[in-house]
Amino acid sequence: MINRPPLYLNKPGWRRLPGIDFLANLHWDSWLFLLICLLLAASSGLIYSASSQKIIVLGKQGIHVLISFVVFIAIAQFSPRTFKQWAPFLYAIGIFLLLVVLVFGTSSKGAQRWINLPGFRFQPSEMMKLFLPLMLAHYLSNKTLPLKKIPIFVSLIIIFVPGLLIAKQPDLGTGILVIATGFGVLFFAGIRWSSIFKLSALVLAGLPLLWWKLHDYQRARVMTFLDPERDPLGSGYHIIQSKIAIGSGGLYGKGWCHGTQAQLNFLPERTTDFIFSVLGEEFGFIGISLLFLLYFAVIFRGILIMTQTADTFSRLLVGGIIFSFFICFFINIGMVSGLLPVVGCPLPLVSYGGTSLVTWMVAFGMLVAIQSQHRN
Amino acid sequence: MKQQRQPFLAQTDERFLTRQRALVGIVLIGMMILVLLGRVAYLQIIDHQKYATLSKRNQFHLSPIPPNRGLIYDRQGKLLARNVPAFHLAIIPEQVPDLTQTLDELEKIIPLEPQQRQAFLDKMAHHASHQRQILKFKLSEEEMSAFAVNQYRFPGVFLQVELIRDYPYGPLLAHILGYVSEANKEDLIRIDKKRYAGTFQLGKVGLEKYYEDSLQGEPGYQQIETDVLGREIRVMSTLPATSGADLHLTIDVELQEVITKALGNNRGAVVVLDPRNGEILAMVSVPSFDPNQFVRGLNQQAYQLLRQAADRPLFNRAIQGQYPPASTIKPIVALAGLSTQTINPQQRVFDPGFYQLNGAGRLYRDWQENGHGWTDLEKSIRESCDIYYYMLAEKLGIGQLSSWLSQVGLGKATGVDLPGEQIGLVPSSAWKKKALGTVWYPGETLITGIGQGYILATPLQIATVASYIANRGVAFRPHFNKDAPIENLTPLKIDNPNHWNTIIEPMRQVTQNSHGTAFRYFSGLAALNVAGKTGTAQVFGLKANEKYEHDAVARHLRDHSLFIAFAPADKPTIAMAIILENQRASAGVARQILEAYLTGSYHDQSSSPLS
Repeated sequence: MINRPPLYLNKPGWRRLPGIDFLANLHWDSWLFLLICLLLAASSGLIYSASSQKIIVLGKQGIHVLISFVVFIAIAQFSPRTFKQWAPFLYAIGIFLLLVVLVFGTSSKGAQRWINLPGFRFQPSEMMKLFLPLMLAHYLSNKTLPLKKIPIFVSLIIIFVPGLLIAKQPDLGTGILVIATGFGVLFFAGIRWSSIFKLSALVLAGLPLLWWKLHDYQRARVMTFLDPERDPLGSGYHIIQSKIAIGSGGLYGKGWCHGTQAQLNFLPERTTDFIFSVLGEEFGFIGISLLFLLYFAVIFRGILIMTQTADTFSRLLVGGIIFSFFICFFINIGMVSGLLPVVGCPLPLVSYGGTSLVTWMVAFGMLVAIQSQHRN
Repeated sequence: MKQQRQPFLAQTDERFLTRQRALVGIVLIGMMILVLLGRVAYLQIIDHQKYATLSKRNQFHLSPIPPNRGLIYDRQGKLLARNVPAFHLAIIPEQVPDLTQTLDELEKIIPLEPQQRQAFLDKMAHHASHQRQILKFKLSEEEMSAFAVNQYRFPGVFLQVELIRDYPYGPLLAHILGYVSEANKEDLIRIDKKRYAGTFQLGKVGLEKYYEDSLQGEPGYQQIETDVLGREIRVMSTLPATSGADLHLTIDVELQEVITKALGNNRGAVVVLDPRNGEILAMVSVPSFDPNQFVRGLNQQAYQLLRQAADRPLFNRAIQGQYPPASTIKPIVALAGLSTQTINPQQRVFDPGFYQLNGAGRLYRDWQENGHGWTDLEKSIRESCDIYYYMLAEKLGIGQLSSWLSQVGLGKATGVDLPGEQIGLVPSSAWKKKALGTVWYPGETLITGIGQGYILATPLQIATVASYIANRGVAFRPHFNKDAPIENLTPLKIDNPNHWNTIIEPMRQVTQNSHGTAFRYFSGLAALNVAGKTGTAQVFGLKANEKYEHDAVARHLRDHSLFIAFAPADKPTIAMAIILENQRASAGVARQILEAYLTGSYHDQSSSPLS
């Protein structure tokens, strides 16, 4: 980057001012940035409302946003080659941290997910959402397409080792998310349709085994999902209250900060996992449609970047990130609207929380880096 | 061919594959987003109404406002039952810094029973700490003022006000008004809980129970916004409560006081009716109890003490006490004899002091050891000759006897608007066969003729008999509610109305003739023209040759003394019955009552405890 020859020699005069050169060379994607900013703006409004108008909660998230912006811009300046070089190390570190969590992790709500460091704590499983597509893209980038049996087998090992470690924490939501992300990468890598069907069959066959391995509370969640009224004050409570919040919002919603479910504390976890229910209650179907449009636009932009990318590693990385982003969105909304069991999965970019936000901004930074690589 | 083209196509293949997978991917993702959108549309548009309702139910809490219970007045407009504020000691646990210390400190100024403290701690354990709990109900005035000056020391502890029932006349009207009290388990099953929301106090006995429906009123509601823990956020709207309807009674509370005073420490009952319409002017049953202690909550021990007291203060003798009416029914038996032409007024019977069926066997004694000698109808009532009525009863037979006694309301409910009325008993051979499984003996007919034996009546029924005679065959349903319609009881029709005068004249003589059984009690009262009849009810049967010595037998086995009266005899405005348990001289008490009522002298007394 240091020896990069000056570009845009024919640029207008004002661009020759000192510092402008740096800005002009900055890796940047205005569309993606605009969409992310819109999502973060929606997030701030919802967190403010959901926290009972506590400015301090919003302030904390503001700090998370600032950190994540810095990280986003910094990551965007790298070359995709660097990511490819780092991939195996990051993956190895991720696996190591997952093992550390299993042994030393801090429990929170019945699951060991956190590593406490002086000053802050973080969830290695969040980071794995990113490290897995990196590693897979790295591994598959020099394999001939369509994929042969052995690469597919190795890929499955790369996918399932972190996936099962996370599920063991137990964090079923993130585990499924990580595994689904791996399959997304395989899909974009051009695995044969027949292999896709075979793998799907394998996964379906594995479901009863999974049920047997589940913790009691996870089984209860699944049972509750199938019939929430079974236990209206216990584990079904979250789903019922969330559905009431969304349903009572109607077409136009009850208005910002006027959702009774959210403001009177009927809605659980409303700044984090259930923030979508706050949106549904206060902004109604129209607000939800706009949010869906934003997410679709982000995903569309990502897919566009993928198709415009020539090298296999970058292409698979973008595909993996975008697919992971979508699955996260899908699981969260499916969960809070009662389509899927409650598994504990934040809404990307919108839910309160630093780890998830920074992870996604790192991912989008990589997207920008890839999108901008041809400029150099 | 294919083998050769493979390397050539590799580049384009990958581009094609990428585009294809991207397209499939975006379409799949788009479809899945549409599934989510469909799900949300289902919740927000199709099922919106359902969830909006559920959300409202979450958000709002209806808090009942108890209605003011209807007031009760006497016939002069004196307030007999009112609602007064009571102060409860309440605690909001979450506002109390140190609960144990606070309770200890509170106990120093307001005595608490150990179970009160325990009950409070139990309640606290089962409710959220922001919910107010009552530590002690209905503080006394001293406790209230003791707390008021110390309140600053007890954050989170305060007085909670509630309207409770109060009976200013206390025991004087306890048997009539009854009382309201906390609903018990059976009540809670029976009542419409919505109507009692916020109070759960209801009429347990007496008029409070009988007129519960109209006295209670309808509760109002406050719609309160609450959070998930039930904490009140704000009041959204209020629907005021509808007070219960006031009740105006036929009772004259001053007369009630006169009677109660006249009865003194005796056990007994008095019923005073207006024979012209059935209005109950007074109904006294002594001893009585203080109904206010039930409102304020009676502990189990005190309640058992009241319930098991030997003189049964909770028992309303006027409508629940069943006594042999004794000689008070003699005028009716005489009327039966006249109307059936079994006797005529001039016919005389010799009374040697005893009577024998068919001139042999058991002796049925007269109350006067040596008998009354030759006795006609007039004398038989005036001097209460038993032999005359043994003879008459034998002639009438039990069938006719019980039929005539039934026609003046004995053996059936009067229909008074007070719960718990007993119906007494008019025996007949059919009754005896059914109830006791034995045949009717002729001797039993004789004693029925003088109101003894199986026959039983409540003081209210006996007063109704007096009112039948006073009104010459017409009587009205006795009632307390002044606004209730006047209802006729089945009239007693006889062929020759002159027979009424034939029995009323000797009743007049009972008080006014020097041979009258009540003459000595009514001396100097001739101007009021009282007609009456005495009666003495045996509590236990004497053996054939036994003599009754009032002072010689145990108190609870002594005879009851009865008296019925109405006045003025020619145009009665008052009819009454009195019974004194194990006591004599009920006519003397009756005289005080009649004199006070007919001269109106009692109105001069200042009787209102409210003034």
